[in-house]
Amino acid sequence: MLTFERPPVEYKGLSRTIVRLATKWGGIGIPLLLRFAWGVFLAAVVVLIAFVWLVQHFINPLLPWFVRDFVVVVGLLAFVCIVAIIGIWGERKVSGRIQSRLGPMRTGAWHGWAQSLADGLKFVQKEDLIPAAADKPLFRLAPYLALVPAFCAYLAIPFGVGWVFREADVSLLFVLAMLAIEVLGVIMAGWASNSKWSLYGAMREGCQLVSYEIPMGLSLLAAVLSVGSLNLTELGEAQAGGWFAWLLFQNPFLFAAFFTYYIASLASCKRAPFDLPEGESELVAGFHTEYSGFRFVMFFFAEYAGMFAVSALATIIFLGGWGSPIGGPSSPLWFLAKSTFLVWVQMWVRWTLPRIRIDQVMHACIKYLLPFTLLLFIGSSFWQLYASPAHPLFASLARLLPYGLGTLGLLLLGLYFFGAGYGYYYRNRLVGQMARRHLPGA
Amino acid sequence: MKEIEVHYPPEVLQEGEVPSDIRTEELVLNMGPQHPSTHGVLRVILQTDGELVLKATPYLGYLHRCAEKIAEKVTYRQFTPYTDRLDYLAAMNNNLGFALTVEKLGGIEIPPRADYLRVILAELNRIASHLMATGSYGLDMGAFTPLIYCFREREWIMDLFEAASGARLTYSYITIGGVREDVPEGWTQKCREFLDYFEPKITEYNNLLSFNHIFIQRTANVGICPPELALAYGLTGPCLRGSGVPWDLRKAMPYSRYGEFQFDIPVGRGTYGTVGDCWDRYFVRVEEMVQSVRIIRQALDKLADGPIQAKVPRVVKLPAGEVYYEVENPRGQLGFHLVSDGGTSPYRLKIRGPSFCNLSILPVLAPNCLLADIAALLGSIDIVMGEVDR
Amino acid sequence: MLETMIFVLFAGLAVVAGIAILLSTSIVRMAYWLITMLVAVAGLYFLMGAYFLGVMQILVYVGGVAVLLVFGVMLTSRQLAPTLRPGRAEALWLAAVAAVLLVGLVLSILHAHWQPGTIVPANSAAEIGHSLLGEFLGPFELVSVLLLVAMLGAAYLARPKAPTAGPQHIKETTVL
Repeated sequence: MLTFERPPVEYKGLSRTIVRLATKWGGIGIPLLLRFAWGVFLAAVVVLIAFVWLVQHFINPLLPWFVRDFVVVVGLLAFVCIVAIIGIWGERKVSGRIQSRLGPMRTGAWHGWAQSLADGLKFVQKEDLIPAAADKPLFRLAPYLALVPAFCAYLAIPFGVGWVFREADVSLLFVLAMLAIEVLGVIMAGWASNSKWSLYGAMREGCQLVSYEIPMGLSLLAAVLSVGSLNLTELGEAQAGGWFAWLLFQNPFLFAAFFTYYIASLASCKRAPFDLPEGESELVAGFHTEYSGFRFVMFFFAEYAGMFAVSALATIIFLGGWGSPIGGPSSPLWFLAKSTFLVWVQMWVRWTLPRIRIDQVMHACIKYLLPFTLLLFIGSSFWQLYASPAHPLFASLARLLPYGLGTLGLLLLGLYFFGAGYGYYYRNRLVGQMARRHLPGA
Repeated sequence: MKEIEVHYPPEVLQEGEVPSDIRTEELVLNMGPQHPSTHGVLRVILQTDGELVLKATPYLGYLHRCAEKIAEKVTYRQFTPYTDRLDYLAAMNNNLGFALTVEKLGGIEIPPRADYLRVILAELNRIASHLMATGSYGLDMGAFTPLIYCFREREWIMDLFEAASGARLTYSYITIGGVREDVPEGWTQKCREFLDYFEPKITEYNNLLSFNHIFIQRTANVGICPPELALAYGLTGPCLRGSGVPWDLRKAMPYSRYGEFQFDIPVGRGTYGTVGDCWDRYFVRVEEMVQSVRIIRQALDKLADGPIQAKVPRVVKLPAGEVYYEVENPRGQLGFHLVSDGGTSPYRLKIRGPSFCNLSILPVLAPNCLLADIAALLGSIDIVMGEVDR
Repeated sequence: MLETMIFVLFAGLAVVAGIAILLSTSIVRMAYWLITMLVAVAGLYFLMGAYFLGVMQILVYVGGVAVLLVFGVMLTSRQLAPTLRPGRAEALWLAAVAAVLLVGLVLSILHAHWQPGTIVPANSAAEIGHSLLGEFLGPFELVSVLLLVAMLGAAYLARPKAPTAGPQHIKETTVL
């Protein structure tokens, strides 16, 4: 054999047929597909929407319930995977643009959209390494314990009226409970790796996640008080009526509760600035140091699924869920747009701020965030008490305040778009002429 | 044994307290030669009690390349590329130090254009080195973006260096007798463009990183090195100035026409914590970049046409004797102790690496730090292992 | 029919997990079998229509108590798989007590008058809230006192050492 010879690969049976068809038709088919990629994508979206409508109106009433359940679960699984894949790609593009570079550009003809797919294929082929002294069953179990609860949270999240797997009275608590099980997967991963570094990461992780669940829950409860139900669909429906009906603007306490919930959810998703357990420079990769290949992919997916899930909760409870802010028909697309916006803000915060040390993280939670959310909870409950017809003066103030807070929200949104537009318009001057000339493809 | 009294603010002690009823493990942790936050191949063995570090022991020598022994075998001109690789992030300054040492012993006079070019390039390299230090310190603290911004600026400086010398990192440009070749046409214009572009960027980095509340909380009041301790351990450069000692070789013993320029020496003032903490050392570097821009502008104004090399024979022979000469590197004072016996190579060349002396403060400051503070400490001392191990 | 299947699934899982807790030798594995059992019991709660209770079981028991248990095991164990083996006399006493309890439990199950009821999933959260602040107000306040005692105990156990006040003295020695 010469110095390097590619060993011949023999395909047999079905694989052989597929490879033959792919090379025969794929040689023309794939470039053709890419040439009309946008058309194909839009056509696929239209077909998907039509299919769902057909199924919902004509086929659903005919089928036994378990077929519908099965299809919905498979669909949710696909959705979670797509969220993770697009999330990873988006994170790389967003981080690149914030750092005045481009992000993936090559895999896939347009801005490296196929980067995640390529990464997935790469990860699947990797060697399955388990440290010799590790606790093998627990080591294998840990990624599932992290990913499965993150997926289960989606079973109770409504994407629109009627777009939910199972509507439950306590769906909000169910989602929080599922997000709480993830902690165990992380701790198990750190322990089973039998490495001091991983164990440190797991311990810090556990502390942080468990502590920040409390401000998260309290902020959400402040909102539950105003509506009086733990049912996520009802919480979403209570905000129908445009921008000023959103729960965010009903109450100054709820306004603050949104931000405390968002900060606590950043900590609960182990996102920067709270990503000390997983990204600390001295712990290499924290609890998942010893995980490679597909097991690592599962942790990664769990992280992005969790990010979208907490953003979805924030959207439903504070930002009006699937209602349109401009008074049009409500639709799951509005829900997706708002959740995606919150996920994008999470990424934005990650690439801007440095990390907080673990003892400062715990200080911030117990000394500042927890008392503050308790105050918000009490304030919100008093607001509910006094905003009843028994106190007419206060009730009229409570009816007018959403418009004031809503205007403030509009101002903030306008500030955001103004900043983005200013940055885009002056993008040459801000980065510098020399850097712009230097950036390839800019 | 002289006892030095060190006053720590009480909050630092309480944060590092260990609960007395629950026994946590004493672990021996190895921040091995391969590690994301040790700058280079440095091995630190940490004894920790839970989160608190009890003892830190650095192990060196992973990058030892026998530079000083090689100096005894090669000629003076042949040794210049070896000086590049000492502190590879500030190669121009290393070259300058070695050239000045040889010129001092040999009594060689440098033409003015070469001197000003040397100053311009040395200060540009100081900016590049501090950009690297600042960016990677942000990365150690978890802020990924300032690193890329600093590297974007560094690309411009490297372009200038590549135009002048042909290389991006190890230049061998400042040689015995002057500079190796003249800068190309339009280089000074591009240099001025870069300075105009760069000055507002420092404000941007300050807004993004230096005055960020999270960054301040991670670095202020961490690793406090009082001025007496700094002087006792032989710290130089931003580590010394960050502790409040206003000592800069460019002002105290000016070399290479530094006395003709007007610039300030930034000194740590304990703005956000105590004097001598990590934030002070970091911010001294940021302010030094501003001062370097000032110096370069003045040197560009003074740059006139003329020869760029003194008449130095091809094979440099120095009279017998010894000389010790120090220059102010971005990381401290780089010193060359040259002993010549009249031949074409040195009899002995001892290099005083500033990072080696700065690293000696690590075992002193590390106890009573939290584990996450070790990264902050190492980043603020800003070592380059090429200089530590030579 | 479907209900029976799901019941057998969850109850069987709980029993198997319980036996596995007893039979397993590593404390960490015991902790994770405990978690499995708690989740199976939560499933039984869901089956009975007590959705709120099931969710609370997961949120508090699994997400709080079990996490603390695992923390405690991991922070204080000295090896990867610490094992627990009771001595002979211990085992006999335990067997006797367990046998008595088992017989009592089985007899009480057999002699109870079971009445199959229909599962009515109610607005459980609101009803539980009303009863907690209504007829069960006394126990509710006592439980809050208990929680306060637990928090005080934890804070006391985790109190910091007496701080070394005053300046630290650093001896100028060679450290390496």
